[in-house]
Amino acid sequence: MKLLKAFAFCFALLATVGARAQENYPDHPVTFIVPYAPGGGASALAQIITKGLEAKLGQPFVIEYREGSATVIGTTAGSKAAPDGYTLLMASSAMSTNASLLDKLPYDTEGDFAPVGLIADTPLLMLASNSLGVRTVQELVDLAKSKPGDITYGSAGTGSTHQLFAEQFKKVTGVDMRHVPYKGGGPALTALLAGEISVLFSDPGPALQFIESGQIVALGVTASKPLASLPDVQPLNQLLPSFQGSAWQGVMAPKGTPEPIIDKLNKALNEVLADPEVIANLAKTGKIATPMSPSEFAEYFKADIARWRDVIASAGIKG
Amino acid sequence: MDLIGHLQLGLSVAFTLQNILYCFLGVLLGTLVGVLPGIGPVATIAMLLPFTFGVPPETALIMLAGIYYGAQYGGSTTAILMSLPGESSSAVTALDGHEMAKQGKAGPALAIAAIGSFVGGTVGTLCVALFAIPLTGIALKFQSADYFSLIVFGLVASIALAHGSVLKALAMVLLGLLCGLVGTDIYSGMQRFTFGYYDVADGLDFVALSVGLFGISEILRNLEAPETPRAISKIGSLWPDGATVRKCIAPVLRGTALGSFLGVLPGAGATISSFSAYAIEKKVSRSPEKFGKGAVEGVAAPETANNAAAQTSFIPMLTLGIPPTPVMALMIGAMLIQGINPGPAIISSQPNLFWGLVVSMWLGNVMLLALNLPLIGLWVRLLSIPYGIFYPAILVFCCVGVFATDLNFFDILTLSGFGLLGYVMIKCDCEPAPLLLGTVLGPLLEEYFRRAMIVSKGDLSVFITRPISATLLLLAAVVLALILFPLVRRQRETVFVE
Repeated sequence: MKLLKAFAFCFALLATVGARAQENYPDHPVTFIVPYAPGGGASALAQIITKGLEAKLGQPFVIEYREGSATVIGTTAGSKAAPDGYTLLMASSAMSTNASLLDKLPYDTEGDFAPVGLIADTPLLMLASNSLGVRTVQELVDLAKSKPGDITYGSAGTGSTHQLFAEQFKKVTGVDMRHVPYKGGGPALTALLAGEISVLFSDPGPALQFIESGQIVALGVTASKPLASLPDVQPLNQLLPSFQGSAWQGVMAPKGTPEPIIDKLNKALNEVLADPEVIANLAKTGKIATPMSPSEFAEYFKADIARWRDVIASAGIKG
Repeated sequence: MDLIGHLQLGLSVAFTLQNILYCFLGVLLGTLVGVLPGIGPVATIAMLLPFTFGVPPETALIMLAGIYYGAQYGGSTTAILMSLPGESSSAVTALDGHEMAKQGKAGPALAIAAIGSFVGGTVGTLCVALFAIPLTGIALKFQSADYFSLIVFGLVASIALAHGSVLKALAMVLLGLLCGLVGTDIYSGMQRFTFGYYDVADGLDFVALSVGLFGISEILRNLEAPETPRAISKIGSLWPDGATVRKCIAPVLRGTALGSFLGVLPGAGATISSFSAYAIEKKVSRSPEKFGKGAVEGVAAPETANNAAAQTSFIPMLTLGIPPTPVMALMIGAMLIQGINPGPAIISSQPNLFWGLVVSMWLGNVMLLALNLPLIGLWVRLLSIPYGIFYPAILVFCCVGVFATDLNFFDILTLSGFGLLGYVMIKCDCEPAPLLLGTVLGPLLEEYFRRAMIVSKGDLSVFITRPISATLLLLAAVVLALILFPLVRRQRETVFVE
């Protein structure tokens, strides 16, 4: 009995230590895994966010780039980390599409993570080559219907968000376009400029200057309202009501991370996202700061996985 | 504003105390990471990126650019002295450079590499200043069919890269092709030869592969000998004699032209240009049999070409905002974080940044020449450490360097595996260069061919109806004729002897 009491005492002590640890969180540097290569849009976003979190939480946030394999390598590392709030993962739409694209993932997309909060919505622009001679979505649909299979669309590779948006467009409008994959969004944009492909869903950042100079035409945007930098470009879901979804980035923790830590992180993240300077910096790269609570983000994530599962199944894409 | 005015503006930016300091820091760090086996400019720039946030954008880019082209100089030092190419673009330098070092001519080899790099770098920089905008137009005209023909041209130009058995060389190219196939097929999204490992879904790590193949295998071979037959005991006089210099003038000029042109094209510019430059030298040489056995032309041409290409690869990055190489992707990242959107507008909207960078690149090349020639003694002294201490250090550097790039343990396994393979290859008299070529060019050839076919709906005539592609294929045919011509000549000679 004495022994039992001693155990109970120890447990109680441990629990208070645990609670103390949560109160003091964070008391040492936090690792932020970015499953992309340094230098791209994701890395710029991670820099902005971690800088803000450092200021709010008083500890350094160290970015660890674990690129490769369509984010699977970095995401796996995030799923295997200790659930103590000291390792966080930058999640993105690739995580929800991979759930349907890839057969045997080394992690459980819906079961291994605790959503912390959404960072930003990254609308993609639907672009057309100038030489195609279309100015609106309707003109593109008419042209594609008159020449089935003649129009090509580019992507950052099979299974990329770029491709899935184009496939959704095909599904919604009933047109046929041929897929031409590239190794990344950059080469695909160059190909659009060179006239090798006719249509491309692209990140706004690198494309803005070519739209302004009239080398390519923006037909629409995958957001619920027009981008500040392109007020005349209509949201696709207004033109085609069943066209949904967007690309996004968010923060996830490993499953089992204590709720108080998740809440503290979410509060800090949402404060960072409310900062006008952060909002402006995100807008410069075509991103819209979109704060959410952990439960809202969890719902959002679930719906996103389901949406892409439908598109992937109907387009017959398999990784 | 004319060129003089632009250069004056550039001078006023590049020659501030802060920018000179950062430029020096960049080229010094670049040389260091180039010299240290395995650690390349990508990992270094990625690690140093956060340190550049506090300085003005032009200063940040000046330093990062310095690391990049500085590493091209440093890379040749290790390639020559230890047969350890830090990057694919210096792999071909190791072939003749290391042979020269073994013959006690390390000094002239290093000097020629440094001088060639300087000439290539200077002319490349001048090309950036003069032709950035028109060349962008050319780069934008390149479509998949044209890239395909360019690679065919490169392959034809490099076909006889290895000396010795053609059959073995062909086998190595095929093995390289197989290695290059590992990864995700971008057309179908299917995984090829990955055996379910996500670590290789993007393909085998190129640095791990080449360092293993060239470097680790060399260490294994050196360990075999009882008494340290370490490659370099003395470097000889640093200054090449008149005959050597005369031999190098034409290769340096050809390398400059080739590198400057190929660097502008997105893709494996620096690598393809050093391989092609080597092959072209071998073809135009009156004594091609000396290649691979210490021909100084085999050092001069590729070293010049890869530096020229390193400079001109800034053209697509600065003018289109589209990165042709991973290093350029990092540079774009540095600009984005600084709030600058790279693109065609950058030259007019940020003239300070553009012209400051151009002038600093030339300044950096001068610094590198000064840094490299006198400091060669220091690098060599590094090698006089007893081999028993030295090789574990090299192994550690290789592992750290390979691992640091993307923190993937699988890359260490790749390094070890290809180290062993390289050793077996040495035992079988097989050359590593064709394997590397197959690994680099094979997948590109496939990618562009398949894409050209998708776009043209399977019409093969696209390769001859597009003017750029047709011209390149014609050039390939000419080079093929050049390859065959000495063969014909030699056969005639044999006939005469008989």
